[in-house]
Amino acid sequence: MSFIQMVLLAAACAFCRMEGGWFGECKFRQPICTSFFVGLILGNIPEALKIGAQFEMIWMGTAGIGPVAHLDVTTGGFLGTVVALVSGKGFEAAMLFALPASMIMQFAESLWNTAFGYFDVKIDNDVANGVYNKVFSTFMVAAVLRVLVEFAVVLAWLLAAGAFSEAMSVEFPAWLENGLGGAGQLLNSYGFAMLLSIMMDTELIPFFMIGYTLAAFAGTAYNMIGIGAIGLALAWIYYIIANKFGGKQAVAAVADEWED
Amino acid sequence: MTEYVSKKNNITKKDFTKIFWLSFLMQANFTYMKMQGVGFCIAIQHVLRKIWTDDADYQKALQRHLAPFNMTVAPAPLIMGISIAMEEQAKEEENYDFEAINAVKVALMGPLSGVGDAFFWGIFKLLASGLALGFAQQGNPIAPLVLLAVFNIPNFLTRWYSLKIGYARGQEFLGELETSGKLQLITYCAGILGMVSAGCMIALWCGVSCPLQFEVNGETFVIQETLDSIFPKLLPLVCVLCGYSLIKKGWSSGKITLVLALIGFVLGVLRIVG
Repeated sequence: MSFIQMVLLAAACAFCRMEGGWFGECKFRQPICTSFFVGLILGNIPEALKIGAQFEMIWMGTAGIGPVAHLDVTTGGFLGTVVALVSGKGFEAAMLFALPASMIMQFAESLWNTAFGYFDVKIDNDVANGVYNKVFSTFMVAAVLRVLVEFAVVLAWLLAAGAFSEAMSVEFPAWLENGLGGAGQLLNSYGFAMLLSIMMDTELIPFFMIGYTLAAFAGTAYNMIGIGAIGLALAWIYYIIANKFGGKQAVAAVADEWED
Repeated sequence: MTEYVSKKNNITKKDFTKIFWLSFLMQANFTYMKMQGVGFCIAIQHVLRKIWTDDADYQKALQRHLAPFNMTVAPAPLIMGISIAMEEQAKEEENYDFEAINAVKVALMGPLSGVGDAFFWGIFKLLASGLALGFAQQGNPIAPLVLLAVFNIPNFLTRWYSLKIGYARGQEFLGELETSGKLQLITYCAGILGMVSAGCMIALWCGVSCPLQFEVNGETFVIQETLDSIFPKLLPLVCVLCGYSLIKKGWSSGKITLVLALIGFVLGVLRIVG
């Protein structure tokens, strides 16, 4: 990585992190999007996207629900893809760097969520003192500061990622490759477990079984769109029936699961 | 020619377009103190100024809408629309109970987030990731575009129409949906679609396999082939359910990640998984 590449990478990562705040959660945060930028800057888009796809899968179930800081898949996936491309070691090496990074950045996020409360207090005071035209500007100053902090932190991470990649670029013994591969597979399944945990309800198990069995046995004869259409049909049928016979009591308890 | 949304308070269509765009900024300074509270306020501030021309009233309105606020972001403009309608009503009526405005906001946050999460995290994000994944695995640069388009078409439409509906007849609309149980029903139906998709994705993309094989009487016996003949993709399902039960036990995601990475590493070295 040249210095210019590092600055560009940090800027791109900060941009992707902005999506939650500035662009209304438009999903630039997903590894498929972040890895595209890494590929663009490091000059290997296809390889970067393949790494991004694997991060997308292990983090399939991470959702930003509720008011707490979440696993930072944006920065994690971004740095991981950088490591993969620079070291030439593929996803396993990327994961080794990205997982701790995403957790540390989650912690950092909660620190900033606390510290930037300073601006909320300032706005409250301004309004109480009759200064009304500063609400927006103070809010935006805070927002810009957050992006700058992110930029600086990612730049520091990139230095670490560069050193890590160099250490990684030696030949791995077979057992280490196997071990990392196994860890990758289990973590992949954990991503999907998180996905289940945000939606699962006992009454929804049959629908899960339908989707799973169809895809498991028919394999690629069905794709997402085909099975999604079946799911839509099932949901529609349920809606019609419940509407006719009054499904209110049956579903009232289920809906509570989603509320937070 | 100016198009008015509300002639008596001089609120134009342009003002509403401004709310729409500002609503994207709602979390630009998310904090543990007010969460999206300030973001909510800045989105409707210009309209509040038009409604409350008197400074003292305007101050109180700002303070009302600076209260802590947190919900799924995409349908949040619905509450912005409702808030404006209520502020206008408050100006008309004497002895209006101002507490009602924040009470309604708080009361709607929960159920609306419920439906919003079911659709935006449970369906749209899942479909967007799922459809883009195939392209990304082939290294096709169209992947991020697919992801962004699939997610953002509903995202933009929801913001725009929920703002309009919220303003025009938000309270009755939601009240009716809730008392009739329709809101829960819609959430549940979204859950059905989400679960079918989740099942499909696990089977298609969760790659846990067993490379173990034995030599029995000169014949190679591959465990994975036997498993496939009983129930294809059984191992991914077992692993996902194990992970799920750990989550239900209340383990933190950091702890689960570490434990699974360690177990996976050991199983990988032993060539049981890989």
